[in-house]
Amino acid sequence: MRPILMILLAYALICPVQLSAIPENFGQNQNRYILPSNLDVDLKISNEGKITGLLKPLTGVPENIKIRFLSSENIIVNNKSMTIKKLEKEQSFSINFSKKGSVEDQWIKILVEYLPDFESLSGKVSDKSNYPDQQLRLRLINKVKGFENAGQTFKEAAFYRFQEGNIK
Amino acid sequence: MRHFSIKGRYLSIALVLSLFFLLCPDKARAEETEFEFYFQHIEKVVEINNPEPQGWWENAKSFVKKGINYVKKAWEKNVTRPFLTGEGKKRWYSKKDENIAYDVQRTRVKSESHLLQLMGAENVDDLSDGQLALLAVYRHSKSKAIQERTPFGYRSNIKVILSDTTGFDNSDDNPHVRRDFWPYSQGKLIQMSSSRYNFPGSDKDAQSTFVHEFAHSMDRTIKEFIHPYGKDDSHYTNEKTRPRTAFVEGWAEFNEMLDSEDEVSSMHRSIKRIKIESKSEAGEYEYIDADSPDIAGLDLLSVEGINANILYRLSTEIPDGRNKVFKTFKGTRWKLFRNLKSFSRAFARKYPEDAAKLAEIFDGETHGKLSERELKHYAGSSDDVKEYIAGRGDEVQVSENNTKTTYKAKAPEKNMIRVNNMSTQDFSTALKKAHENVLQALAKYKRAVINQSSMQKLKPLQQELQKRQEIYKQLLDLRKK
Repeated sequence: MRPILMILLAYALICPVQLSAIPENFGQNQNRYILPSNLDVDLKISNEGKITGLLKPLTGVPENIKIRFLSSENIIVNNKSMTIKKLEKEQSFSINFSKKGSVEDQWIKILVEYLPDFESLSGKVSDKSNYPDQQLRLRLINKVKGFENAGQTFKEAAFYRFQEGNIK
Repeated sequence: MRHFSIKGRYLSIALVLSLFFLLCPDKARAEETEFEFYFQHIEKVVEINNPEPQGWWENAKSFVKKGINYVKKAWEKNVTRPFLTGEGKKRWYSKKDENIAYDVQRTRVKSESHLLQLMGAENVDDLSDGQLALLAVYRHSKSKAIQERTPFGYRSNIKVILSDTTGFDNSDDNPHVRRDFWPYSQGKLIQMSSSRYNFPGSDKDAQSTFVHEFAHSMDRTIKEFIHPYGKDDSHYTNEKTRPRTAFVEGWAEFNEMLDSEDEVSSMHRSIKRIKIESKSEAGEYEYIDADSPDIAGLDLLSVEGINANILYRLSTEIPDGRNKVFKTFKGTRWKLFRNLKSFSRAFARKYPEDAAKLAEIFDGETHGKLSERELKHYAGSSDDVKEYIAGRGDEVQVSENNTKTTYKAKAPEKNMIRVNNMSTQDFSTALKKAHENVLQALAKYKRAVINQSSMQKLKPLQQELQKRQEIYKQLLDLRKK
């Protein structure tokens, strides 16, 4: 009995050390609030293999939306860069592309640079029910004001990665 | 020839096991930390449980499936993710919705150009704001700010997963992505995601968060076991939590402050008002001003932002303070249940010449609410600390809303007594006490003069008398008002 107790005692002593080595969960740090999304950018594929780009405003009416098309080396995208002056509702556009070579590492990306609707964005981040902590809310409001004063544009992206028989 | 007895044999086994576990899984003395980066993107959201089972059979199947998924989730999070990170298709279980998981594709990052390629870019102009933040994290791991911290950690290797949530950031379609990919440290592993950084200039925020999470990876402290962050599992810089938890988060936030004036300003604003979570209602908070008598000095020391600010002040107000703080941190890393008290006492022992300043900082950050005994618990009982305490002035006990709080005259320059919310009776008592103290100090000084004491002995008595006279005068002025 005694040897077993000694082993258990030894393990009890080193157990706290082991505890410190075990991955530990740190709580979700809230020293900053996150900006709400302004724009949803998506690429969807139909059953026929056609890819469609989708833009959907999530906060007010974003403006001056510039869209660029990027792709992997084994894909050719024929769409030219385009600009949408104001996005009041969801818009879609077809992606005209051709593939060469195997499916591996093939992707299409659209990069969207735009000016948010700062008035609507400010309204959202001032909402006490969604942003209850006063200090954090003020920090976010000031951040949005700073962006507005600088006329800062935002950048979003969407990816479509080709895989064997994939549906996104 | 000696033979080992059975007892001796078992003892040897026990000792060998102990040594084995002590030295595993990380090297005891890491001088440099190597970061191993992985990039992952979400391929799809999958339903792993039936959210609305119908009938007893479906309910039974759903129950069993939930149990299996729970085990798989725990195993993935605590074992495979940190220890067997690997490349390829992986499943990332949702924290917020037990019915869904994310299939991700993970790749080991070989270089910056490789990371750009993985994010679909030839150069930084081809990156979204969130992706720029991930690149900033990768670059920051090689920065001086991180490299100069690594000698004070104990891990030779930390894995960093950069999660690109591009395409899944719409909270209407994917309401849990932000929470499920919230940046975190698991000690051996750090995870950062693009979803939090969907705005220009977010690279600075991402770098700051990375420093925060890296600081956690340097820390062996075991937090309190039950609800360390309160019922809602979220924590704020100005939230009163538990002592060890406050130290753990305070340490991480202090590291952010060291690198950013913006963080310092934000922290100073934040800790003026303390939030306390309801014990019964998760996410419900009450707010109290830090200098209010409704919150005791000791409770303020369970606020992570105050822990952070104490460490920050030690680093910036003491000669070579930053180095001393980090050395004390490293020197106490085997105190697995470390908190601010064990840290500060170790600091005072290691650097006795700074003990008085340590006491002053604690006093200031708790708004003079620590009693003499409490202050000594944190700063030690050296002569310098005692001298500082003596210079604080008199204690005035104020009873307010059933909370007895000790107020101190702020020493040495201000010598103010807070009399807000003090009842008339308490004020009269305080005034009477102040007058008695003046008479006592005067009597001491007169005796010393009669006994022809040296200037060395007379000077502190004279200073003490002046301080007490100043306090009494202030109270008299207040009474007139």
